Amino acid sequence: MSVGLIFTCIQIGLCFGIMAMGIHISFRTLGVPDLTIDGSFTLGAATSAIFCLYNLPILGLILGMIFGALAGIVTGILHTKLKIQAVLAGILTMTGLYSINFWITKRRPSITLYQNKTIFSFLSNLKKVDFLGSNLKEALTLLILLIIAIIIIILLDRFFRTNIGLAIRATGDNEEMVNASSINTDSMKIIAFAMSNALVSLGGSLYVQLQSNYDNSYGNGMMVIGVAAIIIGEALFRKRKLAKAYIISVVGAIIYEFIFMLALLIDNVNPIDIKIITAIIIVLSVCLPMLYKKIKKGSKKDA
Amino acid sequence: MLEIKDLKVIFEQNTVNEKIALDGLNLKLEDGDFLTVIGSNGSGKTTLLNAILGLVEKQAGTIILDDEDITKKPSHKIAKDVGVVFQNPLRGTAPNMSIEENLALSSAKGKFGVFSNGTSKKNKQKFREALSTLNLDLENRLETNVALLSGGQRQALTLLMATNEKPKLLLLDEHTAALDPKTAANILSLTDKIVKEKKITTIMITHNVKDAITYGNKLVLLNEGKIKLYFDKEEKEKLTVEKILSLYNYNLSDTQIFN
Repeated sequence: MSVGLIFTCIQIGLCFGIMAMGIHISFRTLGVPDLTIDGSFTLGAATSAIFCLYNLPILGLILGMIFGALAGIVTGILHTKLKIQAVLAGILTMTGLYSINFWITKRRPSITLYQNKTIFSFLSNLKKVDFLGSNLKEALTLLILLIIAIIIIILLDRFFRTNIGLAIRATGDNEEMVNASSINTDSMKIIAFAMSNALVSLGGSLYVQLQSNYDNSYGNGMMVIGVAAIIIGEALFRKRKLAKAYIISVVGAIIYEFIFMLALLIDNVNPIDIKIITAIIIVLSVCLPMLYKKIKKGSKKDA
Repeated sequence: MLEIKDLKVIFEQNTVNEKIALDGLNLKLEDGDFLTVIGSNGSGKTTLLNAILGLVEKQAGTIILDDEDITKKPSHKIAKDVGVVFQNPLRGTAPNMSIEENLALSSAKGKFGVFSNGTSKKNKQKFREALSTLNLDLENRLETNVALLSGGQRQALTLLMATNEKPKLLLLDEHTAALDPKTAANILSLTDKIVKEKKITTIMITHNVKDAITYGNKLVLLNEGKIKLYFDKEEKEKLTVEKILSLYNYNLSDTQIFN
């Protein structure tokens, strides 16, 4: 594995990590699986791509996030006010988003952005400068994504210590108690869904600008990747503090990307088989710490 | 002041499973009253509390708390004025959050600065002072997760959370029933102390007849969704456990008890 490939893995891993932090809010903090993700990732990607065509990449990121939040609010309202089960509410929004994403891209299933401005394009002059066997452009792209991820980690950590953040966490922990504290749990859930999908969309927006390419299938399987990232992170590191939970989600996403890339590197592998190989590797990486513990316990008994 | 007029709660109305839980119940409490409620299972005690809290649908009647009609208010808004401690110690606290975070939520009670830090230094000091009144040494464990506390400690914490900002009404639903006798006695005397100190209007449901007689200044016996017997302060002082117990076994009329 070359240094260039490692940089690419970490870059993509950071995009997925930002998305995984969003998924962490619904999946872990609130304790509900929100399947809007596959749709809202593409929503962010589509918004970002179309604004890059007009050379407005930063506006694309911001609007991508806002649209993602709106998608989350729709799922939240379907779930809380219309009493639709969370899983179904997410699927419904995701299904609707498939069409909406086509509206945003003016019916184009894919867009290439190699000629257009992205938030990373100001670095393109540095492509020729060598850096650790790769080039400075890749390194600085990685740094920008890392800084964005760190800012989000700090903001999330802060937010979940404020009163409203506490109320959202408690809603996932003991809804009845939040109600008894005179807080509307429905509103808390809607806010959580909005934040979650805003981050997922941001992940998608960044991913498009990183790849300089948009495809309407980018969102497929993102829920699996996000949950895998969270679980891999939790399996490898024990979570204690709040900020740590987000850090390990990002690290988990990067590790996932490495696993995926390793699967790609297997000789003569058919692209069709990659999905099942990654699935098996994820299962192994999640189960290994548990198996290791069991083996350790077993050997102690023998002694 | 709490005034309940002609309150009717019927579960699964117009079906074969129809159950009249509260059948035209009337109740009036003055400020600072401490009412104990007894009655056999299914007599409507818990339904009464759930009705006040807005957790069940009411078919008829009104509930007025301090001149405000709360009959149709949503439950989380009622919670602003009404504190509650349930029988199950797991119900009142968020287990995976720390003691201080739980207290921050309860003390915010609907009027919080949304983005202010609930566990700021100033608040921590406030929580420490409040916790020290419990005498459970919780004031030094602010950052401990509530899941690690015992049932009694959790119930004491819930009680503190329910009463820290003086509620207009405090509801206690057999809040010591899941605890061992010694802890139960501690929590009860703590309850009595808090209620008396803060002069909180309180309704306490209990199956322990002795507690029902010992604590509070009014006592009612519920039966089939109605107040079967009512004892004010003077009458309550003359009551004995035997007299009450006999009422559970036989449907005696009012006159027979005092003979």
